[in-house]
Amino acid sequence: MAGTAISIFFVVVAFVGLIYLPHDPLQPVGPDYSPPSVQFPFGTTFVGQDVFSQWIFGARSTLLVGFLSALIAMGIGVVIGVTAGYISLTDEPLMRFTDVILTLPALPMLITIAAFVRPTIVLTAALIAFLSWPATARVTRSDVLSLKESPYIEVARLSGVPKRYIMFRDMLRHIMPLVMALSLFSVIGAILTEASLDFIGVGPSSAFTWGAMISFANDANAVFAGAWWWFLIPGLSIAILSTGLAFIAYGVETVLKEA
Amino acid sequence: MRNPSASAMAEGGFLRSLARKYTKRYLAKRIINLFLVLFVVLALNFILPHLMPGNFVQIFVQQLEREHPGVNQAALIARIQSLYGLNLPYYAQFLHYVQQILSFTPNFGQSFLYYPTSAWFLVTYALTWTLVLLGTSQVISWVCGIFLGIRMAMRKDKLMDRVLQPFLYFLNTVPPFWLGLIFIIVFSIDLGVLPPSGAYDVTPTLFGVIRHMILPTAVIIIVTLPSHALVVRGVTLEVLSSDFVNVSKAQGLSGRTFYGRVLRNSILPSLTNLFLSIGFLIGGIFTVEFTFSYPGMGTLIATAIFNEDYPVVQAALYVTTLVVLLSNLAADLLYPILDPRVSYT
Repeated sequence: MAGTAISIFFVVVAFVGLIYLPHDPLQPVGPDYSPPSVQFPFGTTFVGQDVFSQWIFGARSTLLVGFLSALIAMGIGVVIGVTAGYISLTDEPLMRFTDVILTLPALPMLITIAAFVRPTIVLTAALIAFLSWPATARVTRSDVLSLKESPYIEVARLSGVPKRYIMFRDMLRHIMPLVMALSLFSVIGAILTEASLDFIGVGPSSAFTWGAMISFANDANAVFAGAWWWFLIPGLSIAILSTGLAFIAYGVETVLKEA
Repeated sequence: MRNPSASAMAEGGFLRSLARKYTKRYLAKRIINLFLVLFVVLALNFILPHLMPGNFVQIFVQQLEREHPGVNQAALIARIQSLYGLNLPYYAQFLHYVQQILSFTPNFGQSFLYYPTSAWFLVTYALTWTLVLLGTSQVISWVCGIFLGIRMAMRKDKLMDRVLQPFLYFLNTVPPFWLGLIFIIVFSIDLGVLPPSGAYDVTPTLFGVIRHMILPTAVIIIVTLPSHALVVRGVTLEVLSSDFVNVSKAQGLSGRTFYGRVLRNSILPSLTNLFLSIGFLIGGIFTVEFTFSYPGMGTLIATAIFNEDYPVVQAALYVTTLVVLLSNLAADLLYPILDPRVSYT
C-alpha cells in the first residue's frame, strides 16, 4: 500500500512536469543560492535556477532510465532463463554465460564504457540492462525447471503444441507476475547506477535526472556554500522512490510464495 | 544494485544446496568463470578506443599535447602504435594487447595527466587507499550486520524486526555519494569536527589518516550494512528451523550458549556473501571516495575522466576486475577451510 502510493506519487510528478513547470528549470529565474521560500519551495542553484522545477523536470528522465532499463533487462533475462530451463542442452552454456555477466563489476565497467563513448540516455539504459539481467534469468530458469514437470505442460507437450508456444506462451503466463515484481529491483538498480554515472561525470549529457542535479550541485561546490537544498531533495527522492518500489516487489513476492 | 546472492538465500534451502554444490567440478567451473570474466574485461579495454569517434591515436596524442605542450609527437605515435600493435591484423592486435597487459608490470601506457608516469603506477597507488577503506568498512559493516541480522531473525515479526526491515530497505537504496555530501555538510561544515576531504593532512600521520577515514568509512558502512544484515537474517531463519536447533531447545539451552550455536552456523554463508558482494559494493565505494576526494580509485577514475586520461581509466577497470575476481576466488576457497562439513573431494 505505502509502496504503491509512493510510486504513484513520483509517476504523477513526472507527468505533471510534461504539462506544467513553475519556472524554466534550466534558466536563471531568481537570486543565486536562495534558500527555500514561498516563491522557490526548494530554493535556487548557484546561478538562480529553480530547484523545485528541476526536481519535477528530473523525475521524467530518472523514471525513464529506471523503467526502460528494467524492461530491457527483463526481456533478455526471461528469454535466456526460459531457454535454459526448458531446453536442457542449452542450460549449461547459458548459465555459465549468466555467471560471467554476474561476476563483472557492473558500475566500474559502465563508467569505463561511458568514458570512451559518451552514451545517450537510451543507450545508458540499455548498457545498464546488459549488465543487470542475470538475476532475472536465474529466477526464470528455476521457475521453468519446476514448471516443466507440472501435468498441464506435459499435456501440452503430448498433444503436440509447438515448443515455442509452450515456452513463451503457457509458461510465461505463469512466471511473469514474479518476474515483473522482481524487475522492480532492476528499476531501483538502474536509477542508482545512472545517478552514480552522473556523479562520476559520465552520465548521459543530454538528459536531466536527479543524479545530474546532485552532480551539478557537487561540481558547483554547493556543499561548501552550505546550499543543502540543492541536492537534499533529489537524493532523498531517489531513496524514497526506490524504497516504495522495493515494498511493492517484496509484497508481491510474499503473496506469490504463499499462494 | 541489489545483491543477487541475497535473493538466492531468501529463496531458502541455501545451506543444503551449498553443502551439495561444493565439489571439484564446481571449483573448476568457478575458475573457468574467472578467466572468462578477465577475458571480457580485456576485450572491452581493447575495443573501446576503437569505438571512439575518429582515430583514437590522434585523439590520444592531441589530448596529451593539450596537457603537456611540446611533447615529442612522432615518438608518442610510435609508442601508442607499439602498445596496440596497430600495423598487425585485428586478432594479432588483440593478442599483442593481452600480452602487454599480462606482462609484469602491466603496460597500459603513460598517464596523459601525469605524463610520463605510467598509468599502472597511479592505479596501484590509488588501490592501496581503496583497499584500506574497503577492508575497514567491510569488517565493521559485516560484524554489525551479523549481530543485527541474528537479532532480527530471533525476534522475527516482533516490533524491532518489523521496524528495522523497511528502514534497512531504505538505507539500501540511499545513493552513497549523496549521503557523503550530507555528512560533509553536517560534520565538516556545521559542526566542523571532521575533515571534509583528502586522506591525510600535510604529512601523513597515523592520527590524521584515521581522522580522514572516519566520514567515508561511516558512509560506506551505513549503505552496505543492510545487505549484510538482511542476508544474515535469511540464513539465521533457516538455521533456526533446522533439526539441531530444535534439539538444542529440547535440551533446554538458552541465552548465551544457544546464541553461540546459532551464530556459528549463520556466519559462514554470510562470509561467502561478504566476498561475493565486493563486485557490487566497489562501484558505490568509488563514488564515496570521489565525494570525499579520498585519493583512492574512485577519485582517480573521476579525475582521469574529467581530463580524458584514457590509459588510467583502462588500467583502473582492469585492477578493479582483478580485485573482484580475487575476492570471488577467496569466497570459494575459504569456505571448505572454515566449514569442515564441506570439502573439495
